[in-house]
Amino acid sequence: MTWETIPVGVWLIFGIVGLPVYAIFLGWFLGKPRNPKTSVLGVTVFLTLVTAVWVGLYLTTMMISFVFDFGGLA
Amino acid sequence: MSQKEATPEDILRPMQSTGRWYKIIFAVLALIAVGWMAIWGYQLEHGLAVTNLSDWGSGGGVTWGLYIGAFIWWVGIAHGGIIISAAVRLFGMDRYQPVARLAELLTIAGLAMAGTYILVHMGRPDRVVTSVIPAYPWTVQSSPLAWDITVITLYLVLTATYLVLTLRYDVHRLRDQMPKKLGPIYSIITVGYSKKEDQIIERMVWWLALGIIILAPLLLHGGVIPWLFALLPGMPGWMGAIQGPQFLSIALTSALAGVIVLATGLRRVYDWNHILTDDVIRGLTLWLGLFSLLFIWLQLQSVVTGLYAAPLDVAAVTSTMVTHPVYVIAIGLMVVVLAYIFAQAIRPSVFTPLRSVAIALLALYATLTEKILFVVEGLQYPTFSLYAGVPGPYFPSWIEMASIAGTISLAILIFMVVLKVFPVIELHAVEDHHDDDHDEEVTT
Repeated sequence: MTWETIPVGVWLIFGIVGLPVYAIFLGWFLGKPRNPKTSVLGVTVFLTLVTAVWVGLYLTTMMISFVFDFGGLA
Repeated sequence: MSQKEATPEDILRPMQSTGRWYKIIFAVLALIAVGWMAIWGYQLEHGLAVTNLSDWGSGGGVTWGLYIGAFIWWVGIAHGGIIISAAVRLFGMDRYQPVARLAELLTIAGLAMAGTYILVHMGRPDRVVTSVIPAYPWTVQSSPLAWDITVITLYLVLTATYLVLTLRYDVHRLRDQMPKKLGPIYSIITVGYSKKEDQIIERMVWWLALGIIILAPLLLHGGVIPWLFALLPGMPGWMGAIQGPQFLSIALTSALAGVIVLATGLRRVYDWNHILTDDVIRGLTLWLGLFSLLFIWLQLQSVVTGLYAAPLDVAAVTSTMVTHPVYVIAIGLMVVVLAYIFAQAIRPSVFTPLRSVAIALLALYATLTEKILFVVEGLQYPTFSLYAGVPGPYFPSWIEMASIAGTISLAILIFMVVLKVFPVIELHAVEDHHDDDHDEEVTT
């Protein structure tokens, strides 16, 4: 098996870039001191912000489309 | 000389009063920002043809120019947050704690402006979400643009998470003295708060700082952003492994410069000389010196290898670069920056906060122009003369140049709004000396 079996972006993003992010979440849930409730709060904040960024971007760009009459998804 | 002790009242001051100058500056910046948005509207109405960036048929073959150069610059400035947070949380350099939150806010403002540049550079910005999200499972496999979007999103969100988690402590303790009308926001930030979580949150933000210090410098500005260029073998000005370290050195230089300007400006406006002390500004100036030195050193690597016995295509772009006035001025300014920092290191009386701000502004100008030149020359000097018949050289249009004023105004406006919403200096930074007393006072 060669490294090309897995597309470069897949191992790069999920295998390397992802490592510090996995470390954060593992640290929150397995490191000490810890409290599952507080760790879940951290994950909730993270996921809420990811959603806020992309939904906010979507709404902004749809507004641009409406104002400049780009025709939505056309 | 005795120095007055920092108190929580100091960091609350921006929220409790709004001076005439605040209103004037806010109005002027808002005017610039709205003016630029109108210009962007003109571009949206008529297409990118109104800039000198259009298609391969004009502008000397340059389709990425000031917009992409400025995008890189803003992402670079955004690195201030993690440098300071890492210094405080990971390396125990507590004297930088007063600037930690300011730097994190600079990260968020910087990344917001970088994202704005991506939108501005799109002919159809309405397609950004609807094209990126559905196609992601395929584009992530091979597209550096998809990697870039992934890591920028992660950096922005992790920094904002860091900010929210550290704010809980401050907002809970200071809420009574913060604006009542913003109560719903404070309730959301402190939902489920208990004092028992403080130690755990402190450890969680330690993990965040650890993750971000690897993600942002090494994998974002030393990774996916330079790979947008360095993976293109047909562009000798862009290609090569040195782009990662070179991008990173420039990013760290601009980031420290941004933090210095911000911290010194706020300390003057809010009389925070005893919190954002000369010692802190001088320390930041020395860090700027280190990163500036790396910047110059990595440029030297490119220039020497690109001129000595380089392949013809590399030699062509390098010799053009080193004689271009924009490059000569940028490197000259960085030499001035280094000269000042060296002089104040050996003779401390040379240091003044105002001089540090002046050289920080020079560094910001140098890094911006260097990045724009990098983008433009990479396209103008490809290995094969694909665009030899393309008429005209590229020079940024007034529409593109207006975006610099517009985004800088927007970034400052973000700060001015945030100043009214929550403390931009961590409560920890002012309560270290009378921690317990204060805790009892404000939480009971």
